[in-house]
Amino acid sequence: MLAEVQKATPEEAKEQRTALGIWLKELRESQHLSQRELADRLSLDYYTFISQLENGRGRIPVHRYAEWANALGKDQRSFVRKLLSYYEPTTYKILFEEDGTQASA
Amino acid sequence: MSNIFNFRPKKTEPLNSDFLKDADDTVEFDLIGCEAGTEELPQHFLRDDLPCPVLQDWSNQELANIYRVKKLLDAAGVPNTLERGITDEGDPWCIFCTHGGEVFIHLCRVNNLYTLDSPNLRNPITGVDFADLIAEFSAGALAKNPAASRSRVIQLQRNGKVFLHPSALLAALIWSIYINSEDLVMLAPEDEAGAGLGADDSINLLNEVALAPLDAGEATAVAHFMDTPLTADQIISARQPEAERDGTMFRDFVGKSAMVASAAPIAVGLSSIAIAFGIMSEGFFDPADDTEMAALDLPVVEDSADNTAVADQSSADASRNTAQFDLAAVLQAVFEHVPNPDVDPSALSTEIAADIDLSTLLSSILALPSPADVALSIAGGFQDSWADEAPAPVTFADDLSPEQKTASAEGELDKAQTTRSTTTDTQIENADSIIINSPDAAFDFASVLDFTASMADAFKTFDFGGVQIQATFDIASITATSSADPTDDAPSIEPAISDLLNTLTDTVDTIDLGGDINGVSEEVYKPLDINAHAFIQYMLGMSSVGEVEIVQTQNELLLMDFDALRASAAETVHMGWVLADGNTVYTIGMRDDYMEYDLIA
Repeated sequence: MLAEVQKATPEEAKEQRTALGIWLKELRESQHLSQRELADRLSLDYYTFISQLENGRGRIPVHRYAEWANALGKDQRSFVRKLLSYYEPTTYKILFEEDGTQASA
Repeated sequence: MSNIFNFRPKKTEPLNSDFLKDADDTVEFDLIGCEAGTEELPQHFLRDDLPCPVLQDWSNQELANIYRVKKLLDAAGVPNTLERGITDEGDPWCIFCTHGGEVFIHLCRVNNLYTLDSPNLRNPITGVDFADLIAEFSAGALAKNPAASRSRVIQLQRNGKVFLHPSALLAALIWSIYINSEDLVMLAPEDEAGAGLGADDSINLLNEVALAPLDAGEATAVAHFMDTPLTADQIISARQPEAERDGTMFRDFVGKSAMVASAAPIAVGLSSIAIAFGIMSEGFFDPADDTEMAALDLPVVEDSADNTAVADQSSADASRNTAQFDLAAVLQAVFEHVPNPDVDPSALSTEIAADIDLSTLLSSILALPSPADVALSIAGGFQDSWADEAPAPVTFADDLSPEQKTASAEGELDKAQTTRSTTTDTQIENADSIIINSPDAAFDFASVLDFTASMADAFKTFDFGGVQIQATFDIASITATSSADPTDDAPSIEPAISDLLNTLTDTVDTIDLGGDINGVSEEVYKPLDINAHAFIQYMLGMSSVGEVEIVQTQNELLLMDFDALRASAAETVHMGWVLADGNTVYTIGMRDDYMEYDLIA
């Protein structure tokens, strides 16, 4: 049964995360922040993680979504929704595309 | 134009300013009121006081070392891809990812300090070099373990007797982190003494791999890697056609065998180093500490039981406590220490992908075909438990997605865990069956036939009672001789061939050469583990140079070392396996060869 579960291939996931990385970079630059400054806002141990994410590798830890939204000056709900569309596209589609009424409920 | 340059003349020479004159114009330098040649350079001009040059990107040496780490991890059976990048300030980073694309190691250099992080680390570790990283990792492990104060730390690297390549150091650290290791890697070098491959041998092998100059292809890969942040996988893919052009079929098979055979020692070497740089609680060596010792003992007991039941070699195998079996204990302990999923993720400080946990990582070890083979050879206990359920081993076919593979592996993980406690009993039951199914679905009959097809010219077809058999030697001449007078002093190969033909065709009556299996010392069927896989590939490789003869039917293959058939019974072994697709491979060979591949003790 597990084999029937539809999941993104690594290539698809990589493409999605690359696109998300570009979006994150645009957000950071729109805030006139360097990677180091953003890392400082987020109290990251090493700012190279920002570069890693912007290159589409890895993902933002779930428990830090809100902090990232604040650091980038974005509304938390819309920010997380955007992340979800890249990290969990199937879930996002179910929640926000196939049934718009549920999404807005 | 506001800059003023003051050139200091040599003290011993008068100032000659003729060269400064051009017709009526003279260029003059302001000496700022100082007598020429007497002014002293500011201290901050001295080299020692200059700020350290800021390194940009990875140096060639660093990249070569990092690439070697990947090479070592590959050799140790850790599925990984390597990628790199630089920040907007030019600081370099690189990541090791699972084949699923999840990051499990982030390494960067900022302000001349290396930082390494992993989802399995509570805090990132920093150091001025790789050894420093390990020192901090060890220190953290010591501080975290309450037994630290009474623990014994074996410092292989600091007594000056053991040289370790920086890549080997980093690879050992990553290996340790990968298997969540500091309290799980418990392979004691002294445990290995005199039993199989020793820790020293493993470390030497590790250094050999690390120190081996990169071949042309690898150097090209590193060069590409240096130029652009390409992924190592892309580079390796780009190399593939070139490698295929250069390699012969024989080299390919022998090379694979060698790689597979050397994977476990590499893992042992990495573990040995990991222990050397980490901590080993004396509890691991204290019989009074039942809990930890139990983790060590279990796989050994299982293995002994297995061998007792299957091969009747209990006395020999009961004492077989090689490094591989110690590592089985390690991985078994890993499974028993899989992090609690209820743990608050915020407890993990890492910023790396939070969706990786140890079980996923271990599943990926066990899931992916080639690295899984290595893991299987290490985790003997789990490998055994795989044989518990016939007839459908998990299939890791190429067309499965990595997620499917991982999901399947997780299922196998559960199965391994649930069956572990009864492994001994089930192994004895399995010994009654003729053939145990293989967990190694990546190695199927098709791949074997691909090879034998390349030798099509060497095969002749024979018809035995309607059964078509292909062989690389003249079976008919032997059967005719034997059938004519089965009581004669027939060549010693006849009984074995009779037996094998009977096995291949299941037509005992029509192909009874009058012999039995006296020509071979024993008939042992075992799970197709990594050693068997490597041995079969070795035999196939030898067949291409005429040292091994092949007999094959539609779904069965026999590989015969004629030296073995002519040798005494005590020197020969006869062994068979079922491949993932249900087809079978039988081998007859020299006992020494089987021993070399750890198929028998």
